Amino acid sequence: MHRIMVVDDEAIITSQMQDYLQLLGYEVAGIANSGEDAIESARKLLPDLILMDIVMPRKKIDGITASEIIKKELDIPVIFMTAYGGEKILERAKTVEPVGFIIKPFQENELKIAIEVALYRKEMERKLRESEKKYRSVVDAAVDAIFTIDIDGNVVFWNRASEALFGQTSEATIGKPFTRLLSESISGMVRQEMRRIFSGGHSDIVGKTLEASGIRKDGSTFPVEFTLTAWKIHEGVFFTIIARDITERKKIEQMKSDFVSLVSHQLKTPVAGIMGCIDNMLMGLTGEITDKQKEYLNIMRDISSRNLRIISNLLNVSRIERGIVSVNLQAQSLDEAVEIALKGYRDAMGKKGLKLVIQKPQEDILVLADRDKLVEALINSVENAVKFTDAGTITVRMKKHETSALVEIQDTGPGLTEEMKQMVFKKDRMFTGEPSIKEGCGLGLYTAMEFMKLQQGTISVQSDPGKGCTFVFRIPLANS
Amino acid sequence: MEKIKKGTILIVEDEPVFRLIYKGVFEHDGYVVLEAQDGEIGWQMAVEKKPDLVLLDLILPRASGYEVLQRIRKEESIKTMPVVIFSIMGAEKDIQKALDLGADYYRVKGSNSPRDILGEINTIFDKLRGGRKT
Repeated sequence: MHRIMVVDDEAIITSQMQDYLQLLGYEVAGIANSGEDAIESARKLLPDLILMDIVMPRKKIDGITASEIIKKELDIPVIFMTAYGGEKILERAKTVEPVGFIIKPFQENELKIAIEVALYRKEMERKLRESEKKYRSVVDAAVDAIFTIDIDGNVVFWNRASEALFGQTSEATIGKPFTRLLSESISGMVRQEMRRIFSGGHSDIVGKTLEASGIRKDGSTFPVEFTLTAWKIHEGVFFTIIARDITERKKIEQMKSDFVSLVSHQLKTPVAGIMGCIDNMLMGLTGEITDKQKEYLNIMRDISSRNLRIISNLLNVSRIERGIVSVNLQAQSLDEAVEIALKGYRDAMGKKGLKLVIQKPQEDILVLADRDKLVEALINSVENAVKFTDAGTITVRMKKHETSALVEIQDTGPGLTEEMKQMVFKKDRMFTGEPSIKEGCGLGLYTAMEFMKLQQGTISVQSDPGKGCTFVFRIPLANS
Repeated sequence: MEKIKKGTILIVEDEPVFRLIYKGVFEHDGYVVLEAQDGEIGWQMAVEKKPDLVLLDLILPRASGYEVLQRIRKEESIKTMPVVIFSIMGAEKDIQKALDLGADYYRVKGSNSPRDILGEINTIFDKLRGGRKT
């Protein structure tokens, strides 16, 4: 049962209140006749609620002052009772944030409502504070930096980990612009996205993980990874950013990348050397060569060339598996990329007696892609077509389809069974029979798929046994 | 009959097989070829012999290709010497760094045959004779 204290300088009132309260089912914790009394009794009795008369003439401390002290010290809710509704008094009363006012004379039910509302509100405030404490403890204990910025770009919340990460306290950061914390390009972009959300739009960066340079208080920078969430409340739009230092990770990535590069050079250099020597011999630099010698030299060159391709594929897969593939998306000419991919295979096609047909639109198609990766993916498909087609035609079609560009590479080879179609883009698979020099290690199409994924594109295959294969590349158009 | 000399090329390259291949193909086409097997010797030969063009590898003992390039561009007597970087490294940042340091061209080893490289060198020499460098 809730315990209520009544404070009024007139004994008649306090006695009347006591009756009322008991009637309404409350326990009367105590009675006081002055401000000082009220303070002292409140300290002793700790009621759940105080009904306080504002004006208590002939007493030193009035209700308002007493309430201020009680509120600060004991956090007990106070309902003011007053006969006067004068402006000045009301203004002053409001400053101590009472939970309610009742104007004398009042009815029983008015009193009950006022009390119930006050108790309810008190309870809600308590629950809210506890909830806040709970979430706050989570955020404070977080290893990641968590901070919130408002629409003006000022920091409104800064957790403990943020202090450690950026080297500045929340006192030094709250209210100041966040732009000092992240590299200019990123903070500019974040502000733009905030404005977009503020005007009701949708932002692509919300929920994504991005990298940037963080700037510490002392001016030093460090690589940082962060995710953004946006939320709207009555007061406006806010962004909460969760960030972490990725210096270590970047170091390891660099080491992995350097290692793969080193292995790459060590493996490719000897093969390039052999091929160069063979080329010079075929050019006649070592003197005239017999037809038989030429035959052998050509075969050696072919094998070396394929060896180089296998090494390239292995290195690509190695990078993919280590998660260290970098992608640089720019507007590219699709025609150019296809030409580069085909260049190395026109000779081979000629030698096998294969016809090459290219179908493309009048106007060059511009796609958003990483040139080297797109070309590599296309090469892997062309290579496949040439490898497995012994007679007929290889057709390359380029066209636009909605927001993408499509490249189809069709051959007149043996085609694929349903089973083979399932496995064709996979890395780990069973080889039928012994792998021949011709087949290589089957990593090309896996690489092609991964490279296409990295460019927000796709590759798929259509085929029926005996009817050849068509590989279909889908690449986003530039500025779509 | 003496072959008409087309010009002098300095090859700075630590891998013997590549020196063999490129010396072979350039000499066959009429160039005079000088060789250096490390960065220091490459630098010395560039200053002393003043070739018409330098084919410069990046990964070299004693002084890197970048280092040699920088020295050439600082040395009054040879600072406008045409330099073609010829390296197995092909990453965007490697290429950009070399171009920023003053390389005129960058070719990646392994993507082209010696004949292709010869063709490019011939084109560069034509441009040089035309009085303008690209």
